[in-house]
Amino acid sequence: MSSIFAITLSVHVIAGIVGVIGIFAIMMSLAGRRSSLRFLKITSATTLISFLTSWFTGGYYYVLRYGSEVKPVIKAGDNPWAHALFMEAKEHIFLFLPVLAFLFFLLFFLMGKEVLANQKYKKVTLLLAVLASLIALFITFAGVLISGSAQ
Amino acid sequence: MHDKNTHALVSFTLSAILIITATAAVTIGAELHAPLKSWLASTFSHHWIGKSILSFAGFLIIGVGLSLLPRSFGKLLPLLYVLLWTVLLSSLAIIGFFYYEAFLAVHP
Repeated sequence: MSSIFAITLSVHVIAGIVGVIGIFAIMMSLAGRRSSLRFLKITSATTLISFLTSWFTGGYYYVLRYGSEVKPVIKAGDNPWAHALFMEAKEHIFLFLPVLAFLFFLLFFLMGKEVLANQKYKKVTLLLAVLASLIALFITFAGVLISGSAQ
Repeated sequence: MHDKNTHALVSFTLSAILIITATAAVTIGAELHAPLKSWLASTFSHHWIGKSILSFAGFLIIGVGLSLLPRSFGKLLPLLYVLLWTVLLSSLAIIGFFYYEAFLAVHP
């Protein structure tokens, strides 16, 4: 693998993990009795930047290397479903995460005080964070599976 | 909480609902209807790049556009619940579709 692909793949993974940690941190903060708005603002901004970075670097690797060099190996191997199910699902469901991350960013920056003070808003924001966390976990798991199937 | 911040959040939440639904529909539709996938590939150089651009750019454009309108289209709290269900059902639809394609469908 050329160094540019190794770098973009590494940045994709690291940025993605930072984003996953960020979503989890938002979820755990909202689930707690006292949530720090400053923490939520910083974390939501970091999560958004991380997912956007993971998106661009992952997209670069996916378009220029995965399709031509990695996908054929997976499809010809013992676990072709790693691409047919997990990669296909991952590359499309991932598109939801930057949208959700942007919404969290807006929620905390534009009306964070109201969200934390109003239990109804706090609850639905927490539920969205839980769902985003589950999606992020699935995407991470799928990435590990795909990488393993390409060995 | 009827102010411009709430108006902006209503706008972007509605945009998110529309775009996530559209993304799931285009994802499944492009697999079932080859000309759609071909159009995405020829217009954006790769079908996934097309879906990426249309989803996030569409989200921002629709969100900003709705924010500039004088009236809001709904209340934030119920819209956030609609978004929750939209994300859940769209994710399950995508996973379910590709599970079907990978394990159940008979390909010629």
